[in-house]
Amino acid sequence: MAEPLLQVSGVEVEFPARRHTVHAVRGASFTLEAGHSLAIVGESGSGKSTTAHAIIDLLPGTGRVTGGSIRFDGQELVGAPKKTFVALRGAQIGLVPQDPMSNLNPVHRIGRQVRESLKANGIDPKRSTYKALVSLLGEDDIPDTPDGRLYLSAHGRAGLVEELRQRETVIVAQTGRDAFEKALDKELVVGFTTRMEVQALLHRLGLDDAAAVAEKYVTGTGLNDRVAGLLAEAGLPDAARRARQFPHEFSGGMRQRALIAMALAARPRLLIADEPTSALDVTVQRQILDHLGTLTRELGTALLFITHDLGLAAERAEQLVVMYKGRVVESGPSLELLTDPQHPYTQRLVRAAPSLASRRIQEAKEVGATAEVISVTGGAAKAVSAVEPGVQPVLHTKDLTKVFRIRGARPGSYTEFTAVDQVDIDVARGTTAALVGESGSGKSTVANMVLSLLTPTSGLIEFEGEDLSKLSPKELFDFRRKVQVVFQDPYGSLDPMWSIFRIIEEPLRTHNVGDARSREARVLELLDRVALPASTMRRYPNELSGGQRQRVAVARALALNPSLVVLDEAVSALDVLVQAQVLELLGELQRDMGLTYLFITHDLAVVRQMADWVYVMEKGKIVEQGPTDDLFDHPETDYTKRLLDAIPGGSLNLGGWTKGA
Amino acid sequence: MGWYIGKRLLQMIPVFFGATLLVYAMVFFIPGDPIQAMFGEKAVNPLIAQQLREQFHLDQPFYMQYLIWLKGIFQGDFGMSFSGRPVIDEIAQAYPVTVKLACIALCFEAVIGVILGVIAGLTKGKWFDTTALIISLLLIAVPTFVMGFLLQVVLGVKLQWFPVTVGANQSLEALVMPGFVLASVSIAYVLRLTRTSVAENAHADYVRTATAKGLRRGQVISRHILRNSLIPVVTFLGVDLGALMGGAIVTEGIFNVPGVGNKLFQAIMRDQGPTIVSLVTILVIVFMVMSLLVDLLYAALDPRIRLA
Amino acid sequence: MPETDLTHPVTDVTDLATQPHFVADWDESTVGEIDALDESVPPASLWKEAGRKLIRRPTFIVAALMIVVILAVTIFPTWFSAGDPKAGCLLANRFGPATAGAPLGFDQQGCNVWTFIVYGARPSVLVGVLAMLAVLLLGGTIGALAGWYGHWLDAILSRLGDIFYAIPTVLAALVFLNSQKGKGGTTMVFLVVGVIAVFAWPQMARITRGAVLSVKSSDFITASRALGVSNRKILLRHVLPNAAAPMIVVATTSLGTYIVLEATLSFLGLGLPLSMHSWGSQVASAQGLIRNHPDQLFYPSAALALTVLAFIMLGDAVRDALDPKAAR
Repeated sequence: MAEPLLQVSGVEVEFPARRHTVHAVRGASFTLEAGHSLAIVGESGSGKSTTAHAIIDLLPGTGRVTGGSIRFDGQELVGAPKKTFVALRGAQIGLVPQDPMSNLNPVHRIGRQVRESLKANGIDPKRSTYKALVSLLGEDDIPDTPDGRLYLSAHGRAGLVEELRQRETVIVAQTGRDAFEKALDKELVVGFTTRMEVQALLHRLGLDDAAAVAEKYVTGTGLNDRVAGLLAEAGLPDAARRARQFPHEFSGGMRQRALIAMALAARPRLLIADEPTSALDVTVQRQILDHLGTLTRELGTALLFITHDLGLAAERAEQLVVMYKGRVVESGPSLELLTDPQHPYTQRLVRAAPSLASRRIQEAKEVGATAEVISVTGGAAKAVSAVEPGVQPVLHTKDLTKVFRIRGARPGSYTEFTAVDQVDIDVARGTTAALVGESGSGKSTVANMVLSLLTPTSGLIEFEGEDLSKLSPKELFDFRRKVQVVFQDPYGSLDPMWSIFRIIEEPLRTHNVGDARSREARVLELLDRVALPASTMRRYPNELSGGQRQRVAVARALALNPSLVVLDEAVSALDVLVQAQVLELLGELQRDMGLTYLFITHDLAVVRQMADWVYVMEKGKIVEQGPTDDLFDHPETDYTKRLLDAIPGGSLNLGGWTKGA
Repeated sequence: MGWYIGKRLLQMIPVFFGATLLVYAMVFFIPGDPIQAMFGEKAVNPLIAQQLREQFHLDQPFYMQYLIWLKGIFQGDFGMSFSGRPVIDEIAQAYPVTVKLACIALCFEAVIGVILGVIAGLTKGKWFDTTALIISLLLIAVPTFVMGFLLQVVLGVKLQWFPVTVGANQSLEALVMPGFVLASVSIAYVLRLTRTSVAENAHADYVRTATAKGLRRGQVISRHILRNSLIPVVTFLGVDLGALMGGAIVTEGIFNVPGVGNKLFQAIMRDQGPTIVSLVTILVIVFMVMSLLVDLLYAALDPRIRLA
Repeated sequence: MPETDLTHPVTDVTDLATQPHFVADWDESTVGEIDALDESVPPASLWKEAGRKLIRRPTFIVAALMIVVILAVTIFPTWFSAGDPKAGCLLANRFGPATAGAPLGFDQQGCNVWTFIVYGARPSVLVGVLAMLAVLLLGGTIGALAGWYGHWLDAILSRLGDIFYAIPTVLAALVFLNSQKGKGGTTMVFLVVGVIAVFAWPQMARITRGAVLSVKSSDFITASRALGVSNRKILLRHVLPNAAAPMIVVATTSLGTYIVLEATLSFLGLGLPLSMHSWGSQVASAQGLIRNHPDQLFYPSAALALTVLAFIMLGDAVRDALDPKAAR
């Protein structure tokens, strides 16, 4: 059997530090065949990215490979000279990095950065060197081989379009107007469409001299046309114009497409995609991953996919490698790992992954499983409101609107931006209402208005029947006692200078609850509630992990026995297992204390586990609402459907899963 | 862009009035009689004194004097120094030397500071970096006048490589030593800024991406690390040029350079109020215009900066 | 046993053959408690941790030792040199060589050079420290108010800062001090400190304002606002402690700069009076000896440079300890 494209065996990576060396990867092994795909799954700190970076010698800081072997296409890479890696990078192994915001050089135009990928690897789309060689040998025809394609240039396209226009009547008569227009409009992409493709297209359009015409107009492109073609290939619309823009003029998704274009520019045989979409909105994430999958399949590129999301990994890769604390704990075919996880860690991961959990609920229902797997919402089949008639909701908004003024360059000039547009929300006591939307949907603005941190432009917010805009300062202070918040970023929501005791005590002190001793007792009780040891209160936020900090934030929010807790993306920044733990804690607290949650998130998978009622927000408006199961089972708007489709793992067939749940 | 410049110019107005008023007030409250100062120890004829007082509006209250002076400025009249020459002439005479000196100093900063800083930043933690840091510490710790004397003694008196003072000989050779002294502290700051900036950018994600594209180390450094990390350095140099144009009282004094700083110091020592105020006014304007230019330069270098 | 769906499009049989389902030994990688708190590590606040980092830095150790000596000389000059520097000047000793009581020899007036150097420490350090405190107070307050309250207050305070920033500090100090010639030693110390503070605060204000602005947007500030904590309390209890690190860094670094500033002013004859024996004025009076007795110029210069060096190094070490970005 031929040697696999990439063979990693027993790789050790260390980060020597002054005091103790960090052993980031311990004996990782896996194999990736040419043209296939493999995903490394793990939490932050599991060593998954480090392993990937070790392959192309891009370990940060002091990191180095101290053992094992990495063979790429039969060549040993551990201990190979720098030169080898320079030759491999880009040309043989491409990298799509994690964060599209920081991975493009902000001062260079996109086109220039893509062009660099071509030039650095000696790619010459015009093949002038090759042509020179051919003519030297006395041959005048240049074969259109797969590895040396000739692309349509902007100039050639103009000529070709003119030629086709001249023959318009003939073509339209033969194949119809639609095919003609479509060909002109969509199928002739500068720097992307090859001579062979043009020839095939012309043939379809019924030209008998298709080969001659294609040969006449498709003569290869300059670098700029090819760059535009690569960007178009990565799914960037209007690529030629976009290539002249700077990264800050691009959205996150567009930047990631540009990075994909760069990574694939030199047609590498292996593409390493390091969490390529975790910084993006779910729907964008899906589009990009689909596109990336199609591209690598078409080009025959092997894909090494790094992700924290088990569902995503299983959906996108044939093989899975699960890493935990630097070790590979389990590996094998994706579906087998999901359905029959052997290692306790994998089992835990499979149980916790929200995308899989959501999927599981879905499938259990389809199988007609009992209600114990399904979270039941009072049974009302087609409820129209989150609150039963006649019962006063904890929170009620009516026509809530917020318009921001964005200052223009000219003094006094501004544009208006409606962040929240006539939003009606009701949250019933003791339930969880979820407000779901992508970035920029206005969901956090709603949260800030509900917390009375932002004044609405118009509309009404009622809390326990009281109009927020009519509260006196004294009443507002009382309101702040009853409504608490937990934010997304566990690193930013606790004052780093304060001890955990002071942090949890702050609400009590601010609202003059009890004396020093009773407050301390209360802090201890709260720490216990969130399953943190009493000694935590003498610690500082910087000593705690993200999940622990988030539990402290929950304890702070509970200190005053609030009526409503706003959870603003409260679990989004956490690792899967920790996220599951915090979610479980929140559920438990709700049951025990009768809490009401307004749960704000972009993650529909989590919503399914948490919420009773869901509001879907798009561009400032509520586009759909309903009981969680109804909404998931029978989404009505396209937007909701797209959001649901974007939950990773949707295409997985977890048949017979019920055992583990 | 146009609106931005307009806004900035508008913001300069209060700064201009505030700064000139401040200097005017400090000069105005100098004790002693400037008229008497003009005549040294000689007795002054009271009639002539009175005449001079009126000529220089010294008999008016403070705010009137300021307004009269301001009116002059807007008519392009920077007034007469007490020695009887128009202040503008004295400035015109002194400025070229100062500008020359400032440019030499800027060259030292740019060449020594940037080169050492880049190497130090790329080799952070190695011996070169440590040495460069120690040099920068010494350059900052040694006050300008000490550095001036040190070089005068060593390079001027002992080795006789350069003339000890400048005086009337304003050749490049004569200005090299004062230029270096003037630059010494800034060299250290440029070095440190460059070093930090380069070291930070060297670890940036886009640098790793550039490496992953297959660029050679040299290409990564020149096209990505340097281009990005020199933006703050260039702006620092711009701001510093604005400060250097203000003349260097100490350096020009030690090396006897007949520049603006020297003129200013003499004016201060001789209580020549109008000269002081006019000179400082020009310096303030130069400084403000330079900082505006630096901001525009910054926007030109960094496409992310939108001027608004 | 769940069925493995072999017909699933992504798993083909050859893969299964080459890549069997691998499971690591369970005991080789024990799965720990999820997110458990390690209670064996003693608690430490950020300040404590910064302190720990600080005392490990060689620059800090060197700087601290130097500063201890300098402070001892400043506070107890008699420990290092007996008596008033002016006493015991004998013209007979003019440029005399080093003796036991005068390790650096004698100057033009036959005075003990070492004594002068020792007594020169006090005015320099005094002005430096007082000016730093004054700038910290003035600039810190203005910057914090501008950053925290924003809007028109910010606009006004920023323009005010621009005004003072536009006039070079040395120049402003010279113009001002020129009008105060002939005042007594103590008065001059306060005037020099005052004029430095009045013209050097904008830099501190800018740093503070920036730090306050970045803290202001933190979630923990929003959390406190949502709790109903008053604006003033948030500023004092949350914002300022978090903005303190950059302020401290700038303050320590500029301490050295202020010492240089005082020396420069005294050197130009407009700072502290000669009777205070500032190193700056010592350099000025030795100026004329540059050709024949450069050593007379050298001693006060070296004392000054070493003192400034110590404080600049302290500032460096403090910055490295407080700024996580500078650490690596």
